[in-house]
Amino acid sequence: MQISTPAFNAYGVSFPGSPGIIIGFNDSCAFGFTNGGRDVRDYYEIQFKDDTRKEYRFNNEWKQTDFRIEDIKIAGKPGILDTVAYTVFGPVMYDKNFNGGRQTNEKNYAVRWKAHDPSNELLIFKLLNHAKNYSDYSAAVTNLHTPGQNAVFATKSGDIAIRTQGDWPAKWKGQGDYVMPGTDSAYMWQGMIPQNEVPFQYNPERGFVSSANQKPADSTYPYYLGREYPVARGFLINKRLAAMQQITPQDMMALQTDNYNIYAAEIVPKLLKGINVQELNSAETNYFSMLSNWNFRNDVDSKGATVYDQLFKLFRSAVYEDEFEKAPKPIQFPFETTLLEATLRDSVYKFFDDIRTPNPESFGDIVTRSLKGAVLSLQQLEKDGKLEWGKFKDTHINHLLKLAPFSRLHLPIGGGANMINATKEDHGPSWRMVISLTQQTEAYGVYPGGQSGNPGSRFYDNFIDQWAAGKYYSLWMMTKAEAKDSRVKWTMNFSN
Amino acid sequence: MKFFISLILIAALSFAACLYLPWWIIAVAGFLVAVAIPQGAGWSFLSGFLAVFILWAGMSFWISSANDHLLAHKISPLIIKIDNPVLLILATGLIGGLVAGLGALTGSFVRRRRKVESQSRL
Repeated sequence: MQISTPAFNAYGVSFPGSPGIIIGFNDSCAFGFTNGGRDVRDYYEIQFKDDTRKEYRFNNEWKQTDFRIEDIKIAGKPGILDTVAYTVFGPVMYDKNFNGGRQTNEKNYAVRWKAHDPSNELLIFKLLNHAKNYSDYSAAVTNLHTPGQNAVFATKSGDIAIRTQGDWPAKWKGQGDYVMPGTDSAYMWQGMIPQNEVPFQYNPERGFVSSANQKPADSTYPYYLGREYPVARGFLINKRLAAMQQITPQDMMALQTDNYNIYAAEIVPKLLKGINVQELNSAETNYFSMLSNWNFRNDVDSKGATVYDQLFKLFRSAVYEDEFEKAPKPIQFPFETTLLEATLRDSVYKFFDDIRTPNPESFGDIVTRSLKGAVLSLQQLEKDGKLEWGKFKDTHINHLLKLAPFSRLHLPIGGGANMINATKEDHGPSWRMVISLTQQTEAYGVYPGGQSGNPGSRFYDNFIDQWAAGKYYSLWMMTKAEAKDSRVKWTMNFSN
Repeated sequence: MKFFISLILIAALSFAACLYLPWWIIAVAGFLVAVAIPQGAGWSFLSGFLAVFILWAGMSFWISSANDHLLAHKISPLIIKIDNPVLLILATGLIGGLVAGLGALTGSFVRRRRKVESQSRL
């Protein structure tokens, strides 16, 4: 979409109903976002005095509940009146009226969510669309309160910046990872991270900024960042960008569609070394050598990628599943990064042992067993002609109603989790854009769809093949002089 | 001759009426023409059926072929479970034909009954 007014000229993508360009560029700069993914929503267990929910325990006294009655309108019928109890934390989201899929309704959980606080996020895009320089960018993105994003920015004059922008509660380590007691003000958010201490980079020495939902700061950052951030993509992007010189738009396209599996490249040599080759039969040896010869690229026709995928899934569950099923719930399954770290560092990692058997298993036993298990499914896949990664992954783009004739199935595209081309089975990087802020801006973009929502139109899905092939379209930012260009087929006039 | 006049009249009336009224007005078109132009029950039905079958199948073919049956290729697997635009177009014609044909059949019976009643009064 392009918006041109006497005051500015911006091009890019937007959401239906948003009066602005959200990821795109204008005559002076380019801007983009990836999700910051920080935790800005916490739950508190509320102790009501009795079933009426009129009072709850807070700091050793009974506090009055506020009730708000929501009238949920239903067409042609009387509305549903929902009485919501409000505490000092926020609304009680789960109580006797709403179990939210829990087995019992006995416990009451109030939610404190940053998104409940008023803010004006639309202003970001109005200001960004007008932005000319770094200070305009800063003034624009600091209007972003929730949901927090990594906002990247570059200008024609050569400034670059990234800011993990949002209103972030300043938490102690682990605060809000689990439900907290609602009886004590000590567990409440004590304050927000000041805006001048939000992680950002402005013209960093390394000469680039990058954003792939990664952890926004290192361990020297004084505030708790919570959760696991995807490491692989950000790591590889930074490594590649650091090595690249005199980058062209074509280099950036190759980078964005890169199927290199850095996680696999780290762990596979270690797995191969662990496998006890003497124990393998000829079929297993065959798949073993497919994996040994794999180039760590999850390209469409790669068989090694599928062998790795099947082996890794079994290996991961063989390492942790035995302990996990005995662990008191709820508990999170260990992160992939934890497994990688342990595998590379420590061949006597205690989780390698299968505690369901009396004998202690070594790392080699577990990997060999995983390969043997994987071969059973690999043989079936090969019989079905689905051993190639693209066919195995079987990427598809569903219509909202999941009607097959309105969807695009079996797309030949590589990549996947932990890869820069993070195209998974049914989701992935949809809007790809490269903007070269040279004298005359060069802009390229593509998305897996079309310009029409009508399934009967040939413009419904005509970009999909281009997108799957990792190709881009050149983006035409129209100038006033080009309004009469022969490429302009239609004009829409509005009046009121 | 009566048959062809009926056929053309039903088709023309159905086309014109559907520009302004709901689709089922084709039943009324068949009925009115069958009342106005007396024919045997079988011929009445056939004139109504063929008129709207040809009209609807023809029109949907014309609309659908305008973009190489792109939408029909997607709709036919949903409705008739096979990817076949021609079959979808024939099914469209069949539905229209049956409705208009039954309308015309009703018209011819009403006409005959009125005739029988007026004869018995003499």
